[in-house]
Amino acid sequence: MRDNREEQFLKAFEMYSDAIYRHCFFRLNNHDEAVDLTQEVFLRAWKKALSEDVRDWKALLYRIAHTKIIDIYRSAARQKNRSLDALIEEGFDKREEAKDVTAEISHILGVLKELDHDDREIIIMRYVDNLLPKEIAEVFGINENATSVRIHRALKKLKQILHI
Amino acid sequence: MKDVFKNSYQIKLSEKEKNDIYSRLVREVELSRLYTMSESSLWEQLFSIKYKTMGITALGLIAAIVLGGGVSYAATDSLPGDMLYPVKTQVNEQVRGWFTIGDEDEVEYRARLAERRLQELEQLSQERSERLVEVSENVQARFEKHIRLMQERLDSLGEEDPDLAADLSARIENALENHARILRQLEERSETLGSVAERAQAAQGAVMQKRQQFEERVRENIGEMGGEYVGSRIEAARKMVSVAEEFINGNGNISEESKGRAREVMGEVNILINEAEALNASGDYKEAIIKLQQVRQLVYQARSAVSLEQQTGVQNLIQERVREHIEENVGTGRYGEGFEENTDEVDSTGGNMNGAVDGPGQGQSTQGQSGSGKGNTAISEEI
Repeated sequence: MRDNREEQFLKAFEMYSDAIYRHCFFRLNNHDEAVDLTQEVFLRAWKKALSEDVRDWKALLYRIAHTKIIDIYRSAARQKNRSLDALIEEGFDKREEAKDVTAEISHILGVLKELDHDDREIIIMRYVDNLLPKEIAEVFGINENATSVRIHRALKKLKQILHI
Repeated sequence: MKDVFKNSYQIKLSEKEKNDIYSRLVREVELSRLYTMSESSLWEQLFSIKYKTMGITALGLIAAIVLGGGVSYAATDSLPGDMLYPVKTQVNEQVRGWFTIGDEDEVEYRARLAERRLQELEQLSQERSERLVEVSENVQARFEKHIRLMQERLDSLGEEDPDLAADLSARIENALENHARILRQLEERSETLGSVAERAQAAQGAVMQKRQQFEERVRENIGEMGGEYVGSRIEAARKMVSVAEEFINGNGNISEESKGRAREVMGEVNILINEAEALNASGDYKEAIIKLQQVRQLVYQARSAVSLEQQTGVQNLIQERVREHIEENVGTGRYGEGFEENTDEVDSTGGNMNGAVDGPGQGQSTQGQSGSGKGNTAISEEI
């Protein structure tokens, strides 16, 4: 049983490490923080697996990452004596820019910056993380229909921005 | 729409980063297996009912031994492991919810990052000492940043749960002290490490002060909790000692000399526990808890050093696992040429897109494979 759990965990790392890193990178806009956070997410997932049966590693990993990122924002807000909402409102564009990213990545970051926080989250999850609406719903703890509606709205805004 | 984002796939971990994290995870997996081998929940009873433990205490005592004689462990592979190797897996889950991130998590997280910065410098001095001066200020600044953030959250935790805050402080404090000691031993390689050691020591001093404040707060409140509470802790401490004795006596891998030292440490712990019992019986809960706090300190001092023993114990297994992992993936395209190209591409995306230097217990495992992660050797700019 335990061996099986270890195997699943390490396999989950194989399958999702890049995806989780990407998830972190596009939110934190910082490579090193994203690498640290990726490790942290997996360590946390393992702790979780020690105490209970994990059925869906992917969902668990994204949930941990999502929560942890919110916490990083919260930490930053505390430091700056700002409310979390205010900081999230400003979005990650106030964070230090990732330097020398390739033109393509820079373009993606630029596009994302035009969106407000919620829209950006949902667009990243759908098109960068490639999560299905059902999976996104699980991370946010909302139902699938509501998620689809949110994706649709965010997409509409994005298309306006991109003039497509 | 997918076309807009298709290039986001360029963003991935470098080979070296992936191997580093993988080694770290394998270590965690192996160590959790090691922990669950010995009796659990003693620590929990002893130090906080909220804790879920993994029976580290017996090993902690063994480590006292290993380090008792001031054994030099400046070598790379004998660096202490993580500052906060989890003695517990989770805390008060009902209250905190499924994945809520609280002060305690943040304290641990920041402490881990701070420790990693020290490990980077220790590792650099061994492998690429010429880079040390160049990156040292930057890495030290990041170390201090994490320490500062950690302390903030520690304060906030201490407001709510001084006992838990004291416990975390004790672990962080001891780990910092170990690093300071290692850095001093490495100082002859580079003077820079001397100033790093000072910073680590200063941080240790600051955390120690906090611990003392938290402990004071616990002592102030102990009157309300009463003799029964102290009694339960004493009982748990006794169990811990008996498990440790069993472990030591039954372990053929420990030399007689080390066993002797282990018994000495336990003797000291026993005396403290007896004193605590007597004090508790006479209603002096506060003094009793002071004794138990000393027990904690004693065991943690050993515990933070225990990573040495743990790492040696599981190192071979880890290396084997990592080797297997690499063998399985190299040649399957997983780490093939395409991957390397991508690695370079990612690296070119930022001056700060570099892999951190291997942590202890990882460097060896990944050496020889990391060469292809071009440009991955510098210390990162900003975390």
